[in-house]
This record gives sequence, C-alpha cells and structure tokens, in this order.
Amino acid sequence: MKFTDQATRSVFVGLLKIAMRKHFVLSVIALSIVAPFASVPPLLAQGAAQNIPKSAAANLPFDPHDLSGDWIGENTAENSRWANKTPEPPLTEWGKQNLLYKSITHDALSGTLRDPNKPPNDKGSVSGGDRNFYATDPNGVPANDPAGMYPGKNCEPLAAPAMFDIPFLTLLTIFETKEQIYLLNNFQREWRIFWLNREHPKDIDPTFEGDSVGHWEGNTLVVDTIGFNGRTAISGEVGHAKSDAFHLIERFTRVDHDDLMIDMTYADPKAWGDKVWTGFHKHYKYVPIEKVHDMTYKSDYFTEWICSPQDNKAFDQRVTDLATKH
Amino acid sequence: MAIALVFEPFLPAFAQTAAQTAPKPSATANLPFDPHDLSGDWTGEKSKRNNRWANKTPEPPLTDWAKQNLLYKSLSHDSYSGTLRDPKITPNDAVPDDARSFFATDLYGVPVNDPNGMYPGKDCEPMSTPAMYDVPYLGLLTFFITPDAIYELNNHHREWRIFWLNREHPKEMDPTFEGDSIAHWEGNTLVVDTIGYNGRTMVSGAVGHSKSDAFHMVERFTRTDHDTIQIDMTLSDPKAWGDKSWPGFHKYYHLVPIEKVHDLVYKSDYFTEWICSPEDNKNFDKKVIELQQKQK
Repeated sequence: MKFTDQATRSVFVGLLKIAMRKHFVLSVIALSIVAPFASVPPLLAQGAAQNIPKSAAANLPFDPHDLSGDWIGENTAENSRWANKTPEPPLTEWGKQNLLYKSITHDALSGTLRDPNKPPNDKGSVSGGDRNFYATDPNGVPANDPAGMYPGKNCEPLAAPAMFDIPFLTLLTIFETKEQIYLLNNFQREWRIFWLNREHPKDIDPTFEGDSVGHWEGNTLVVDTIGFNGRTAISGEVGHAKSDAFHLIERFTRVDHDDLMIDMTYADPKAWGDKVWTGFHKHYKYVPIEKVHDMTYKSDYFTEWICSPQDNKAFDQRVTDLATKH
Repeated sequence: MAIALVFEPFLPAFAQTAAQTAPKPSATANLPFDPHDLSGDWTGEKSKRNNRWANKTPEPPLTDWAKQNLLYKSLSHDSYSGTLRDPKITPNDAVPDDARSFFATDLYGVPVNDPNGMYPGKDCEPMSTPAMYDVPYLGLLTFFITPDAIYELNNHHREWRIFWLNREHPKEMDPTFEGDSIAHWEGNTLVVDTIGYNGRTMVSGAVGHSKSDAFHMVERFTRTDHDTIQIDMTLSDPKAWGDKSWPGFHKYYHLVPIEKVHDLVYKSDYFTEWICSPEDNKNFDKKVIELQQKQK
C-alpha cells in the first residue's frame, strides 16, 4: 500500500477547526431493522453543501440521478473522520466482550480526537502534530499503538464505512446500469455492488462488503447494506469491529454538477441494541476525466492503489520503527 | 522499433477461425449485437481450449539474465499448475494428478507441485495479467465502457484494469501491478496494449518465472457473437525473451444475463464477492499443504 509519508504529513498539517453542526435527531421507534432508519431529510444534504465553496462547473446542468464518473473527497475538517459530533451509542455487554480491539492504529491520526474545551480523560492525551488524541477511545481501547488495528491492516479489506474514512485518499468511480450501481474505491481497490429496486435475499452468506440494495427517493439514492461478515473495522477511530448484524444506510445526493454528498447512519443490534449512530457526512467532488487521466500518473491518490501484503508489512515496520524512535 | 516489430499484425480472421471450433452456441448467440459493446458480465468457458495449457506454441527461450533473475524456486501448491505432460512424449519424472500428469519440473528446472510453491495471487499479492485469465471460469469479468476508458473488473481477487482509449502511453510512468493499458478499435476488435508492469507478478501459474518490468502484452478482444468474447494474447518481454514474442493465447468468455448474475451471486463461489483476505489465504495454504502431506 502506497500510504506515503507525504500523505501523512499533508493530513497532519490540515485544518483543525471543528465547526459545530446542527444534526437532525433520528427518532428510534422500534427494535425492527427498518424503523431506526427514519428518513434523513434531503434538506440536510443541501444544508451541508451550502457550506462548501462552489467550483466553477458546479452550476452546469446535471441529472441528479446520474452519479456516474469519478469523485474525490474534500480534504477538510468537515470531511474528516472526526467531523461527526454525535456520540457513539453505548456498547452492549456482548459488544464489550466480543468486538473490542486490543488497541487501535499505528499512527496518531486515528483514535478519538480530544476536544480542547474538555479536560482529557485520566489517561491523558496523545499528541499528533498540532492535534491531541485521547489515549484511549470511549470504551477504553488504547489509541496510537504502533501495532494497533486500523482499517485495511495486513491488507484485509476495508469495507464500508471505513473506506470513506479519508475521503481525499478515496477516488470513487461510479458506474450505473439499469440493474445495478457499482462503486469502485481506488484506495485498496475495492468495489461494491448496489442492486437496484430489489430486496435483500432471505439467505445471505456474509461477506466483507455486505449485500447492498438501492432505490431512489426523489433525488437521493438510498443504499441499504446488511450481511457483513463482522471482520472489518467501522472506522479508524472506533475501537471495535462491526458485528455481523451491522446495518449501514447511505444516502447519496448529487446536490449540483460537482458535489456528491453521502449521509450515513449505522445500526448494529449486537453492538448498540436498538440505538443508531447518525450524523456521518462525506463530501465528494467531481473529477473531469482528463484530470483523472493526468493525475493517474502524477498523484498517489489517483494511481493504482492495490494493497500488496508485502509492501504493507514493510510500511507497518517503518511506522513502528519511527514510533519507537520517538 | 524492435518492440513494435515483434508484434506481427494479428489477423482478425484468426479470431473467426478459432471460434469455428467452439462448443455448440448458446440459444441467444444469434441475437443481434453491437461488436463494439463489450459491456456486461462474462464468465470463462470451462473447456480444454480455455485452460492454461491450451497454448501449444512453445515459450521462447529465456535469456541468461532471466535465468539469473526471474526464475521461481518452485511452482504451485497444487497439481493444477506446472507444465502439463504430453502423454505422447517420454516423460521426465512425472507427477500424477488424477487423469493428468505433469512434468516434475518446467523447462528450466523449476520444480512444480510444491506445496509451498509460487502461484498467482499467493499471499494475496495481486494476480495481474495474463495470470488473471489462467482459470477463466473462476473469474467473472465485468466491463464498463465510457467514451474515454474501458474498465475491466475481475471478480477473482477483485482486481480491475483501466484501458485508456485512443491515447498513447505516457513517456514516464511509475510501474504498477496492472501496468498501463491503452486501447483502440481495429474494426470490431479492441486492441489493448499494456506496458509498465512492476515485474512482481507471474506470467501464469504454468510458467516458472515472473514477468520482468519490461513485460509487454497485447490483447485483442473480439465479440464473435452475442454471447461470446474471445481474447487473443501475445506476450513479449525483451529482458526475458529478447526479441521473441509468445503468441497463441486464447481465452473464451460467455455473456451472463444480469438475472443469472444476481441469482448466482448468492449461490456460486465464482460469482460471489471474491476478495482475497490474507488471513483466509494463509489458512487455505496451510490446509493444502497438510492435505498433500497426508497423501504422501
């Protein structure tokens, strides 16, 4: 995996101002799988987009049902993995026994970002450049362990939602057919298939990417994914895995020609009981094909990013060596 | 110029001739089709003409440099790789495998059927081409066509390649696992030219050495009827084979209607998500080695 030092540094010096956001509170109605996912008003996607500076081509005509093409995530604080201020629901006892990692991440860019307005937990904080991280996550999982867990470690699959953790590393390519939408993620080169206008089958063998079905609600593509195999991380800063009951709802809205918003809600009855975790928003910008072609040969983020276990092992060793020196 | 000369024009008629020896056409083979439309899902034919030993054109001789730098210690943890022994030829020490037997070493003395031997995708390293076509019925291919590029997705190990249309290779490029592919249409055949490999992947499970970083592959995709794509490949590698090329590779894929794809995604290992997890792969290798040890 070509996660270069340059990429790490570029995140390191990124903006840190965390804007307070208003979130719509989703009402939890019942224990069923569907009920926790009340509709996120499409206006939320619009509201979020209004905070993002518009590109020159943003006002071009577009088909809101056409998500095809290449999209790269914005490198902003609002788009980072710490942007969601909605707290994680409390873990069930089963979740604490079965899902917690021993530790997370080999670099200081994961873990729970400490709020400078609040005192640190009693384990102090870990500095990462000009940011501070709690030394453990809310469930006591140590963060910033060079040998800790991170999405894609050892070239195990990333899966969603972890694949959206660092959007500017993630060139998404979307293809649409009448029956399916394919979402290709260049970072670790994974793809997902959204089957349109179908139900999940009754029997599913669990997979890394899960089983995804999608349908349009107005101009928003709603994708419902279940059938995860419980072997992947939720995100780099969450100290436990998804269970095999993890349920992801994504809402893709193309708000103008150049801007694609993804709003996500997570549920996991085994981990969180009947509670859901809302408030995840990702913003991607359209990349014209000529730029994609050009950047393929110039930018680590656009070129082939296949995870080679051999390279990944060498990378992990370098990070561990570096952390040991410090 | 030398590189260009080794690739004699591959007559489109050849694709037609090979198709005439195909199995009985499917019911929908005679439907009208656009030969420039390769989009959709395609599964490899499970037949002798489609396996990795079908090419009877011998490999060009290896250069001395290649013998020093490219040979593997051994091939393959199962007997489905290695060089298939021709029963009409006096064998060297043969390795039996059910109805087939394999030479115990390839042409260059690389032992085959070693439980710890090399195979495409070992340890979840990328397979790349042409090795990804080795076992065509394992690899559901999906093509997406846009005005600027064609994407080829291979479900086996979930790798994809991008064929940039009507462009030249850049003068400078970083080598990659999949290489840099450019393509253009010659009549009804899509010609894809790939260079820029990083030299870290196999040619094929049946070949006892890796590609060098000078490996050059030309693929010709021809949709010969509504339901069939034929891929004809010519390989060259100046560091491995000098100015010789290795032609004669043909693969046959058949269209899978989308309803069948959806159905089989939940029923067939070949159609479902086939991501290589290093953890699972390690356990698989271990099981194969244990099985072979029991059989000794």
